[in-house]
Amino acid sequence: MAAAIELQGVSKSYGSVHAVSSLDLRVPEGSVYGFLGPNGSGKTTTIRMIMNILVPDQGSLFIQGRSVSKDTKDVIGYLPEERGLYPKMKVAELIRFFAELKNVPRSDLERRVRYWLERVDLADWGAKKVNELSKGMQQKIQFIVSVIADPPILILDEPSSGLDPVNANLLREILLELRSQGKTILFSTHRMEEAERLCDHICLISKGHKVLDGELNAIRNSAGKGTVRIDYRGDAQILRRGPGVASVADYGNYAEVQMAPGGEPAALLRWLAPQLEMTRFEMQAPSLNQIFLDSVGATTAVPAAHGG
Amino acid sequence: MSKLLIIAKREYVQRVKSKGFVIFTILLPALMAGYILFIVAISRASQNQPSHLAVIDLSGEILPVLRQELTDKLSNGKPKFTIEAVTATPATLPQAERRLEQAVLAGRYTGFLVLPADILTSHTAQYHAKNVILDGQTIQNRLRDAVTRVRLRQAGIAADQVPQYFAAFDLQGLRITPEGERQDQGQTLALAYILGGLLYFVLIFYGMNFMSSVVEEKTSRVAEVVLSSVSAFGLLMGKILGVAGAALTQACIWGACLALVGAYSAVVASAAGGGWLRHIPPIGPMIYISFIIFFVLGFLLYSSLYAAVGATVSSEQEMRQSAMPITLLIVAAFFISFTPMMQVGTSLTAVILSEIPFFAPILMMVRIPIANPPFWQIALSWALCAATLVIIIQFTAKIYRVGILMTGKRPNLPELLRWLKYS
Repeated sequence: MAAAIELQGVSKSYGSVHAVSSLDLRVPEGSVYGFLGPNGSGKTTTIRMIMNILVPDQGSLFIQGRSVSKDTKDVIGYLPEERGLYPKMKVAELIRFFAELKNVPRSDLERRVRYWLERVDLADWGAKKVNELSKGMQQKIQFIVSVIADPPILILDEPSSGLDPVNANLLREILLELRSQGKTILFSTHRMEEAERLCDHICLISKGHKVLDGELNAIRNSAGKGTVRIDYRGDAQILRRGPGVASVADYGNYAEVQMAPGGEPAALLRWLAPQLEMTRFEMQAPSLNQIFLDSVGATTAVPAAHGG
Repeated sequence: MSKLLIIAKREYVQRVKSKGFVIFTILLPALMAGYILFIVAISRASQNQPSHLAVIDLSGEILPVLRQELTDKLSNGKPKFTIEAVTATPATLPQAERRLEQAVLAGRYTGFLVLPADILTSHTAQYHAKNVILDGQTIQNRLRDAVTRVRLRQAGIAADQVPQYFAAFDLQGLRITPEGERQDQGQTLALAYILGGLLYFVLIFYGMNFMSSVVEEKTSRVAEVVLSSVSAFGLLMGKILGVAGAALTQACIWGACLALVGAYSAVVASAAGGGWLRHIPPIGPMIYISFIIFFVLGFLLYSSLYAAVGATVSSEQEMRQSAMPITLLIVAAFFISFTPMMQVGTSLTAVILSEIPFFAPILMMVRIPIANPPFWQIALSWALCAATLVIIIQFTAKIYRVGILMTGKRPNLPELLRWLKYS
């Protein structure tokens, strides 16, 4: 089966800056693919090349087996990281405009606009102007624009940023529904816990290079030996001196401890017990954030608690 | 529907539907018409007021003749001027003048005339009034006639022969054109500048308007969403097409208004037995065709320039500064069109200037009615314009494609040149 999206040796530079360096990528049909990386890692450049907005310096890109072109744009719905709508247009008018640009047949326009506005609880807002809507509402309109043409492939760049928990939940429901319809969703984010919940595949890039790529479970299993999660109170500085400890990711209320090869979690527990007040000591597969930090290096990583 | 047309349709509908467009389209002709009517009404009304003049005639022989000359009538058939003689000698003149000044200020007289003793040789007189422009011209003409009449009589020319020396003289300008001769009292010049002015206005107004919509798409980041469905070139062309449509719609509405006003005034003028308007030159097909071609070429040329600049800036303020050089090109063309050289329009310099692609839409358009240039000159300017347009659009498309997604600092020249190299 042809991949929904495939990149072969794609490079792109701006002057002397290498945004993307010989990147290979394969997004399987029907997957929810997490495209992760810190800010400035080349995610947006890569996505723009997939959308044929930018042209790569080298390499080739394929959408459903076809080389990218004007025409492959039509099978992809796109939610860019930088949101943009025409502020003075009426909401329904604006959605119709973008739907027409994606070749939605005229006879079906009205029905789809009504369906989606209802789906995101904005049924009464069709006749309002875009700039009368709140940021969160505009966000939902932006999402509708990307799905209105019912494309087989969706590219969502930070889809939940700016949404409150209720709407973030609504978005997740819709995404799961779309996944069950067999759509391919490429999902770009630097929020690891979000990717962890939704994605079945992930690809991690940093400074234009691919660092990790594969099914989430496989990645976790391969990286997951010897990780201990410790919930604690007080100061966990001493963790770093613990026996068999390779590295520590300290989150304040809990820490993830990476054991060195041959390190014994049980020995660590015995050593810690008299020195640190613990409410939980659990061996587990590492979180995506841990994998991210390990792979990219702590200097470029983004703390999980931050959205920025 | 092709995507280009969808973009163009949105651009067109959003513009034509906007309050600004509706107001501007309807209000401008209405205001113009209202203003003209107002001015005409005011000047008619003021000319239709009776004038009561006091006259100090130190020469002693002009006043009776002047009375015969000042026979202008009001619209109700009553005489416009009533004259009251005031006697004074050179010695009492200053005193008399002061008295009359007070009387004028008090509204008893419209004004007063002082005819000096040597008026027949000095050919001067003074008219004192609160508003000297109002009747000044009429009084001057009548007074001149009166003085001439007296001098002719003194020269021994019989009084019954005098009137024939005052027969009105009319120099008829007969303009030679390939379509034949016709009378011209400046109407051709007026037509040329109406056409040139219209192009000037449309190029600047819609050029700037177009550029701000490019900047708006860029700053609101909506460009990227559109680009996920169409190519940058498709977006650029669709937008230009839509704006051109809006400009053409507006020009057509104004054109229709103008034609209506023209037809109406022609009817009024012919009913009134002639006048300036009767001689409006028939607008030949060449002028129509040229206007449309220059409208389209000029619009595309300048829109592309404005779009290229728009794509390099990221705010409204930056936009205004950066647009200056382009706007100046249009302004320069418009100013050159008013030079005497262009009003003759046949010199080599005039020909060359009107062939320069960035000037041609205005300068050649002005030259066509004025100088009737040979067809090859017009065709050459079209060809040069079109060729320049093809080159400019290539550059614009590249700059637009890169610039529309760039934010932050404005690129300098080396950076811009690098943009041109990006595929």
